[in-house]
Amino acid sequence: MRIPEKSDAGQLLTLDFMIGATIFAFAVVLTLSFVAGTIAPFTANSDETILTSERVSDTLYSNRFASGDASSGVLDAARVDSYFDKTIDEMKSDLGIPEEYGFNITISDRDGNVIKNWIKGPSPPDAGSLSTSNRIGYIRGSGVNETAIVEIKVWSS
Amino acid sequence: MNDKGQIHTLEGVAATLLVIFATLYAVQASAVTPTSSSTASQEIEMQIQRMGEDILKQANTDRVGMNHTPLKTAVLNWNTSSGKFEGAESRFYYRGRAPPGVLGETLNKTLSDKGIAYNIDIVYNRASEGTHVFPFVDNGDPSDNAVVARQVLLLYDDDTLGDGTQLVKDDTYRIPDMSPNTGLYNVVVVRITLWRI
Repeated sequence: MRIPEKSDAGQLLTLDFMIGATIFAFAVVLTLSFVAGTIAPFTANSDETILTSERVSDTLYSNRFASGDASSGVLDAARVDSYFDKTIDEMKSDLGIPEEYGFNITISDRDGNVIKNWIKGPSPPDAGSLSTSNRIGYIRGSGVNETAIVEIKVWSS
Repeated sequence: MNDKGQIHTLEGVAATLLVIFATLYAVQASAVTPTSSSTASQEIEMQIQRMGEDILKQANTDRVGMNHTPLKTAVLNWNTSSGKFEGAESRFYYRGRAPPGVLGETLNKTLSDKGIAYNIDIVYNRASEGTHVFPFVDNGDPSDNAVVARQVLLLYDDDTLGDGTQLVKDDTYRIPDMSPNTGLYNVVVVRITLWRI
């Protein structure tokens, strides 16, 4: 039986190939992660909640809560009050928010204190994407005469 | 020893450079990337603009116990003896601070406290010379991503300035009577420029 001659070249070639392959693999991984990062803002998941929160805040501000002339920025306290008699699920179906979305509505004064008990819905989760929409209006009637901020939060849970 | 050793390493480096340059080229070639201000902050810009619109709109509604709406009260808060807006210091307009009163409080609480800066300008008409503009609140130069909201305001001859002088009887006010023969005094546009700081 012939014992193959020992060769010095063998290991060098393998090591060299490994270094080359590793450098290339690193470059590919870094490039892919960079490209993935650049398209992240365009992926759809957060856009939908943004659109929902925008639409909902607009519906509430210029229709459900509006007093008289919808474009005046005046909200009717009595209408807000009666709207807050609804449960959170009734609100969601009234506003066309998909079942699987989380929804929170808070009406606070300029200092951030909640007016009356005008807060509804669970508090949003710590993780995940959340869309917020703020509208500023003047609430009139029922002993509330002040500038208020209507804050809508929508998230996909 | 074998001298073919370096070939694969060099191939690896060459391939790496190729991939990196291809990516860079692709990124450069596309006009819009997430880091261009237009897409990254579009949503924020829209929200800020709507806040500006909401603030002006709700400030232009009647309040209990006030002669004029908060917006009109602020615009008419002129001190005839000093020739400045009431409370303004070095100039006739407000520099680096909000105007006093309801409008100013709202601006402070809803904008300044949330890291949004704003300038307010007033555009008014001159009988035959078109429109003119002067600053009302000046908080510095807006950034490139600033947005604008407007509200039209009608001033009448019998509206009163902050110190009780009737508008038509005063000649120190910045805004002239555009139509001396009618009860209308001027049509002004209150223009707010908002940007994030």
